[in-house]
Amino acid sequence: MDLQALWLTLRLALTTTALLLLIAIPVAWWIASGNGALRALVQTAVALPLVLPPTVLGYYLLVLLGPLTAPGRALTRILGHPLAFSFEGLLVGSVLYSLPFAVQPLVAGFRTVPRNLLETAATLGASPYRVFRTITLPLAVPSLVTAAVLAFTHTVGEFGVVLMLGGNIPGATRTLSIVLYDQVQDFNYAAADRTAALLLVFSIVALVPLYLRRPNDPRSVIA
Amino acid sequence: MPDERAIGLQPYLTLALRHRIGSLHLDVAFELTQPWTILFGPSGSGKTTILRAIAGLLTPQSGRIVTRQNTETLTLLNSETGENVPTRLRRTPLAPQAPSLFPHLTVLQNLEYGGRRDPHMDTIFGIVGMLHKLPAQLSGGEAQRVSLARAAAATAPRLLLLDEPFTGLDLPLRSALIGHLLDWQQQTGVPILSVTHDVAEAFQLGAEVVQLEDGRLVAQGPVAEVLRTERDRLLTQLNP
Repeated sequence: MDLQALWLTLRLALTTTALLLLIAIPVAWWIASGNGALRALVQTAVALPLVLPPTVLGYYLLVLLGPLTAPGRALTRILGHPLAFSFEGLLVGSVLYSLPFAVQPLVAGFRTVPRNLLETAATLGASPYRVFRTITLPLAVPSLVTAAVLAFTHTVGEFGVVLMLGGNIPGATRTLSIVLYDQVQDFNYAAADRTAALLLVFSIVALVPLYLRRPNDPRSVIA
Repeated sequence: MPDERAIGLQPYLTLALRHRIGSLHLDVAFELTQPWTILFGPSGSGKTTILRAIAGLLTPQSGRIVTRQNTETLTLLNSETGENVPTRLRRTPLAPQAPSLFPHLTVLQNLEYGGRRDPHMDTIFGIVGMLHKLPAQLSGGEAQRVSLARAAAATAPRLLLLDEPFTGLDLPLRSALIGHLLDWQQQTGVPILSVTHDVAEAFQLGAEVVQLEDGRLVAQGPVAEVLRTERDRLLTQLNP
């Protein structure tokens, strides 16, 4: 068992999920709270990784974060090392790659919160931020869980972006998916069985919160 | 009815609205002076649109809404000058037709959402025994009472707006709720503007009536005068 790769995969998936929720909650709220061309454009940009081959996204990030571009050189100066082929680079790639998996359930969740509840809260003197914090967000907890689970599992299983952007550096960018690929390339099926089983367990465990909701959860009874 | 000196005969609301929405062409202007006024009219006559415009949940195409409270005059909306006070600052709590209780908060938390709860009001509205329940555990009538109590508990309301607050409730419960609201008004002096299309309810309240039809004001005055014809028509139907 490659414990280093296991720890790296967990660290990458957890950090990506945390960052994604921080980014996706305000973005999804903004998208869900209106219409218009700008929102449609942002939503399209967010959804792009759903249809873009991961290797293409990885390639563009590799170029953009590399020494040939101004942003890449600026990041290298700030971090002291190039972003590509590092854990931080992998994090940027993972966040972008899984962005739609976090944003889209949240947009759907925020939109299902009944408008009359938000309006009533406003007539009772609540500011838009307070309405969001006390009404919208608590009622969208199931969507929040879905977004977190999808972001986590998607990051655990990610392969194309990791290989393109991070390479295969033990301790820095070598995740379980890459380990599995290497083991199969080496015809080491016994080890590949164990790694694949571990990834399967990850996925099953991550799905449990989605289906463990109490049937009488008040959030599911939207009066 | 409560002591009218608490509110006085100076208009506490002056309103002129023009708004076109779907097949409704709303064009009304009136002033309110009585402690409890009823917006009366058939479905689609513009009653709810007026309440929503006062609460700031709808911006009419043109209009002016001014409130007066003691010596304070506040323009909530003036489409000519561009003034439009946000809903949260209007202090015009609205109890919508469907109770709209926050389903994840207890009754107590719902009551405290808009201000400081006065425990005495819990008795007035008959909700003492349900403070720690969730809305899903309440009957329709209980939820309606909590909804009204929550609107009434909002911080220093200028005007309480009630959209068909007694629809679907049986007569004893309706009478009890009207009694609760009148008690509350007696204590606070806050005027009430409610919406109904029910003649019996209007007579039960015995309040001032603003009658609407197809978005126009057709009459304003005491219920016995404005809705006499409606009542006689109903009585004729019952005793042909």
